[in-house]
Amino acid sequence: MIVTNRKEKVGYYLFLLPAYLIFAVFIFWPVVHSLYLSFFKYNIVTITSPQFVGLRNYLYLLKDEVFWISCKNTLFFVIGTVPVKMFLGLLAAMLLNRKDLKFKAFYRTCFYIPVVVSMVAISIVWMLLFNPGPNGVVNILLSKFGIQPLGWIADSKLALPTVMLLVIWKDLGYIMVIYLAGLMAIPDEIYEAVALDPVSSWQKFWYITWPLLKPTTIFILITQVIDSFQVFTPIYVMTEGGPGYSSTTIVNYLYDKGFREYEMGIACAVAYLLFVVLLVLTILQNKLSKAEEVSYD
Amino acid sequence: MRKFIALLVVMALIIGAMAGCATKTSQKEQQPSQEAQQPTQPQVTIKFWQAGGDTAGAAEKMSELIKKFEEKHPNIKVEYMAIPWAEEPHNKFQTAIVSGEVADLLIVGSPFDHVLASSGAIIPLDQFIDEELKKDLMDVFSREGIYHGKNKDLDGKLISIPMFGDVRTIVYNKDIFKKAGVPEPTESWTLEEFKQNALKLTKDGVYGFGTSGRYASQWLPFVWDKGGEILNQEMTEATITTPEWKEAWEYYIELINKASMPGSVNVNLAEIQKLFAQEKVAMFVTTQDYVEELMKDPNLKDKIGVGQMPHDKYQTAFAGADVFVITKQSKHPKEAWELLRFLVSTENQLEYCKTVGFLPAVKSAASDPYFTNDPVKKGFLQALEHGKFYVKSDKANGITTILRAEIQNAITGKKSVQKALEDAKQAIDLLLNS
Repeated sequence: MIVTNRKEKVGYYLFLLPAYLIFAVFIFWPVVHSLYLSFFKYNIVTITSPQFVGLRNYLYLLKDEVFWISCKNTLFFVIGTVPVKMFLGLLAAMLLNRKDLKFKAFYRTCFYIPVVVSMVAISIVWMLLFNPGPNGVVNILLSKFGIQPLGWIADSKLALPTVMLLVIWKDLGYIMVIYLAGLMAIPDEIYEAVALDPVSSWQKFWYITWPLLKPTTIFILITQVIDSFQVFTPIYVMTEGGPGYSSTTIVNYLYDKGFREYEMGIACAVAYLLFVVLLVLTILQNKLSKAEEVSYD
Repeated sequence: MRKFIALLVVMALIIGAMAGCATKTSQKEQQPSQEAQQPTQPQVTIKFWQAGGDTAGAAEKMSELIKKFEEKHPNIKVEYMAIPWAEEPHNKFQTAIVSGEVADLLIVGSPFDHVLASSGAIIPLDQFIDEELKKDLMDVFSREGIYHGKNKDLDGKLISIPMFGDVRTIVYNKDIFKKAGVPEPTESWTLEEFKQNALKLTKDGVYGFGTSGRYASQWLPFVWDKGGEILNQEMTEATITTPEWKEAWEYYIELINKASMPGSVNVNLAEIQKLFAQEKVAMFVTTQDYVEELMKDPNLKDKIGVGQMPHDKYQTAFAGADVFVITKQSKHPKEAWELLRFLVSTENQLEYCKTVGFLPAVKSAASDPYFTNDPVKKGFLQALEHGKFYVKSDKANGITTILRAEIQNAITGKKSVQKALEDAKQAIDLLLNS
């Protein structure tokens, strides 16, 4: 629709104004201001007005060992969760999309319940399950099978994997639902076209389903990578980054700097480094998806 | 593009207009009330914010006391607000200070009072305090309320007075001691005796000393006992690579690895409390309010004993307080002091502490039979006499994170104690000078 009337135009903008205002005050302004602050020393406890320090906050991060540990942990977290989540999510979606399956709605609901549950609440439950002490449910179960109790969240090697297990379990339902939508969008005719040929289920999946699911896969990949890079809540609740720094991730590090040490400048610098990494990754993934447009025709 | 800029300008105008309206109305609101009161007495409204106050009934009790205060002082109106710990009240206060909107009187968790003093956000209380209160204040609090640090204006001055205090000391299960044939803690037991007992008590699914590497409060008294301190007096450098620190950490690590349950390196305090309630932990270090909860269990009631921290050289106990400070931004510091003074009076201290289950700030309340006739409360008050507060640096939180990570590295054997302490010192020094 082309709007020619000037008055009408003003009317439209007026209607849009509340949304623009909210966007400007709560999103645009903080985003720009935090970039600005990342070039300042701004400890909200010790100084009241920010002092310009140029790139010093960024240099501090490059020198801080804990920042690098948190980067390494975050990368490990992303690589260890995203592919697993996607594989299991696709598997669940395919199983639940079978025409001969009964109680479909029930199973789908079951898989989706963890997505709805609050992360804090479920983290506390997870802590009870994976408690390394005498009350730990998982260890008690393991001991029934003669397996030695494990350190779980108290073991520097297992703390992060224990959290990853929770995140995989929790996000599975979401990925399943998206994949399910993707699967249901594939027209039956395509499968019918090969129904008379001697093709195995594996071939059907590899030559029909998987290529046609590509847009779905790319979408899930992008959103999940962004999401996983920003993991915070379960670690904050379960391990507080410990033991040592073994489960400290970038956002946990950011939180510690910003809201425990009040070093807002450094925290903003962390946020912007993370932003740049995510931006680059997203552009790359977008390019990838554009290169292989899928069509059902 | 031009349209977009026009839009931005319009938006800026609207925001400006809204802000303008807001200040105008608030001015209007204030004026009539002041005028109306002027013929009798100048009406003063003070704002009073409390960090925490989320113990059952605490905020209600405080409101009740404030009402009494307002009846006594009809010219002062108090706007009280309690901000639960879960909502990070210190961050909110900090933001309010930056924006110039902070309350006149605050209750903050120590050592945040010293953080505020460093930035010059609060005023000294020496100018207000009377002789009576000076004498009545518990020694630990008049000791710990004195500021030392980089803000020279406040150096050596009293900056805070507690509403209530708390202290962590040994709480034990008499039954487990008896069954294991271990004598109950004495008031003068040594670190060696403590360790031997803890090891003897650890058997048959019971752990002698339930502790956690996540909290400095669990191991710091062992460092203090040897005379170790986190920072030098000028608060410019970490002093943790001394033999005293190494010895204390080695001592604690042996305890945690041999006498505490698996996973103690990073366990939640609530879990230790649960294990104690299940009689799977013989001794642990905790605060009084938790013991009061345990006493409600008829099965445990008679088994619980409160002991003193073991000590060789300097007897200490990890203490803290929720303290009053008067902000520099306050336009009515005298009225804020009036309220403070009212709330730390013997009678109100007793009334409040009875509700919240913490320890009073003044001796006159502590000597009340309510405290002296109760073995639990008595034990904690005795521990409070040796109370020592956590490091009073504005970087205290950062220091906590570093020490926690490094002691955990030493407990898990990822680093030697020496290396962990050296790394911690390096990190803390970097933090202090950043």
